[in-house]
Amino acid sequence: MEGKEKNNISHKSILIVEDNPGHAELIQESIKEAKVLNKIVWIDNGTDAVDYIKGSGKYDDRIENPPPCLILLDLKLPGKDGKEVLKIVKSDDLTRSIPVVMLTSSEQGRDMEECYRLGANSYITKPVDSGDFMDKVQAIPVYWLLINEHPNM
Amino acid sequence: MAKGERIVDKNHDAYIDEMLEVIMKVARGDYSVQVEHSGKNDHFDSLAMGINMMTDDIRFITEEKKFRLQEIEQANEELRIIQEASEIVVKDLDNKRRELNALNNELHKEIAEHKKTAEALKESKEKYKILFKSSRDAIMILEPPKWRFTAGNPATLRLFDCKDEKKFSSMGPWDVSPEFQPDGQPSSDKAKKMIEKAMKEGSNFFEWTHKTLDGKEFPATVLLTRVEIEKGKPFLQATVRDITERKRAETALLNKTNDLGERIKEMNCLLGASKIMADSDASIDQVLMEIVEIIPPSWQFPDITVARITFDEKEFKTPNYNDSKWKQYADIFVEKEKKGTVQVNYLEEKPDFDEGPFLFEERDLIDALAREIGKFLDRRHAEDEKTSYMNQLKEKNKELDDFTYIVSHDLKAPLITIQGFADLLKRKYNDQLDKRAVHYLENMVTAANDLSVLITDLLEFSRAGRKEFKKEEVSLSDAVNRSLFSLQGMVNETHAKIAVPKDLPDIIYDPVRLGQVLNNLLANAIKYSSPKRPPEIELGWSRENKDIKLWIKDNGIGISPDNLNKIFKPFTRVSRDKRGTGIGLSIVKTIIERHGGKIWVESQMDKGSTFYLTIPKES
Repeated sequence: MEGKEKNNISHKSILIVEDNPGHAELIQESIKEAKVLNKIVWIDNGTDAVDYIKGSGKYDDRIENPPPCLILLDLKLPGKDGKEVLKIVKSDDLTRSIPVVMLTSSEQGRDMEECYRLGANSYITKPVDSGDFMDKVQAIPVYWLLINEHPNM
Repeated sequence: MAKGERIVDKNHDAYIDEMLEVIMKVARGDYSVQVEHSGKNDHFDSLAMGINMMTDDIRFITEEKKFRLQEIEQANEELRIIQEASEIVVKDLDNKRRELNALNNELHKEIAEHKKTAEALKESKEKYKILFKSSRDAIMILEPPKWRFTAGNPATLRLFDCKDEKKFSSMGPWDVSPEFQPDGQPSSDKAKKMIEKAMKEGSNFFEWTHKTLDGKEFPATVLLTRVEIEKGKPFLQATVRDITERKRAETALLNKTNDLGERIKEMNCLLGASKIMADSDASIDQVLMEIVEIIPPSWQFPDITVARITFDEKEFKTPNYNDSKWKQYADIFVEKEKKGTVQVNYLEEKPDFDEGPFLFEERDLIDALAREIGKFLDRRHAEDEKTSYMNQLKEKNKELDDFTYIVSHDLKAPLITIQGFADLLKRKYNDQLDKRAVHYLENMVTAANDLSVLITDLLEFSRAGRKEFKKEEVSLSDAVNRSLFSLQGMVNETHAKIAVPKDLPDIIYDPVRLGQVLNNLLANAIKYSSPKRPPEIELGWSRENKDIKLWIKDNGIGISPDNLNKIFKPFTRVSRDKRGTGIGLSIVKTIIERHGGKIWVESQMDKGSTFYLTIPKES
């Protein structure tokens, strides 16, 4: 079972939804350092992100655009914002089980509370201190894809 | 004295004893006694008559005293009510009371005089004659059935301006009265009624208008008393007192009372208006409408009085308002500019008083109303301006807060990028970089780190002033322990000794903010330690009135006097070292002040600093 799961996962993608290109690149670099084999997809707005997650619109080719097994989601996004995307993911039976990690610069308690209420699996504040960022982001796929266990992956 | 005994049958001494007994009774206040007399025209007879007249005189005085005391009491009561109504009228009331007191004193003086005379009578029979002759009141005897005067004392002759005693004894009361009494009854008819009543009831006290033989009318009080000068033949003794002076005083009092009544009406009107204007929830329109309605009752003829206030091209009128020939008005000035009027109209013609049909007092009142309304409108205007400025200020403050928040928040994004890529560069290409490149990179990272701390602090500072606090009961002891736990690294590094009292109280505070305050102050106490000695920090507290005073004392480098005032201002770093952004204490100060407390510091260079802060009980 374990092997099957891991196999399944490796065909899937890690989706980064982030409008800041610098941050997006840093996140990608960090994940790459974690030596994960999954395809890393970056989308810079909420509307396209929803299409990608659902495999609709320009993302209907699921070979080209493998469904995500982990979503890193920023809060402030053009188009649909992070909370809307989160809401859509968590209210659809097909996508509900995908772990969504909020990766944001908002330290507002209200945002955090609301995200958890909407079903976010994790909430991480982007660290400003040198070195912390890469360490923190690297830990995300390691934890969610290798350590954490949950059904239907 | 027993009835039926004939005085003539007694010997003289016994008779004198009897009379003395009567006098003693009178002196004790029993006026019901009479000395019977023989009817013979001897000394005893005239003495007996004199004593009886004296008794009546005293009774008369007593009754009049009662009558006047009642009047005075009544007037005093009125005065009391009036006095309560307004401070302003108190002066007038005092004058009135003084007049009354003067009257009262005069009365008492007279009573005392009469008492003295009565006592004198006891001593000497001769003195009675002097009394009769010298009495200030006119005393006369009326004889039935025609009720002519048979005798009158000198005061009687003086009172009626009669020079001839014989002529007097041929006259009756109606000869010294005008044809009609003030109530319209013919004097002769009314006099008969009064005489009948006196005969029936024993005495009759009333007011009467008399007339001197010269034709001068004057008001008087009359006391008619039945006296049996001859056995079986009752005479009437009349005691007449001229009360012109009293009447004059009474009229003056009445006028004053009416005047006071008017003043009270005015005061009520102004008081009512100021009450209405004091209602800060009511709109200007509501206030003016309410005021206009209380105006008519304060004018002399409320039923035909209507009022109108104009202001700002609006009209506020009493329901039956109509224009009229008989009107008065006063201008309302707002910010020294004429902005409206107060107008009062009479709907019917009334006799002329001081200003057309209006009184001086009504002119004063309408002016006062216009003035008060003007002041009220000025005040409202000022309040509106103040509110508007306050709102603008709030708006600006909010904008500033938002700006600070957004700026610091948005500054973080590029900083994360800078930090991230510098880090990436170091991680991936460290072996390809020479020493100098690594040094440059490190400088970049240090600068970015400083910027990061600054932004974080700026964000905290903005938050401290912006965010709503969640106050709850917190244990100061727990809060201090949490703080020390988070500073554990620093404490270990510096070998700091920190003394915390065990009895720290519970307080009402936002727990997160309290943590911030303690973290900042404790961290500072450790950070700014002297290189010469390990940090020793002492926490203490006391109750100051209702506040709690907390202090944190260190043995660090201290703060120079020049800098004492600066340290709580944002972005003023006082030491050269780079151990802080200079915002920490501003955040602390903002938090403490927003909880209603204060913070201050006492410091000595090279000895240490003590930071004091207060926490209000219901913070």
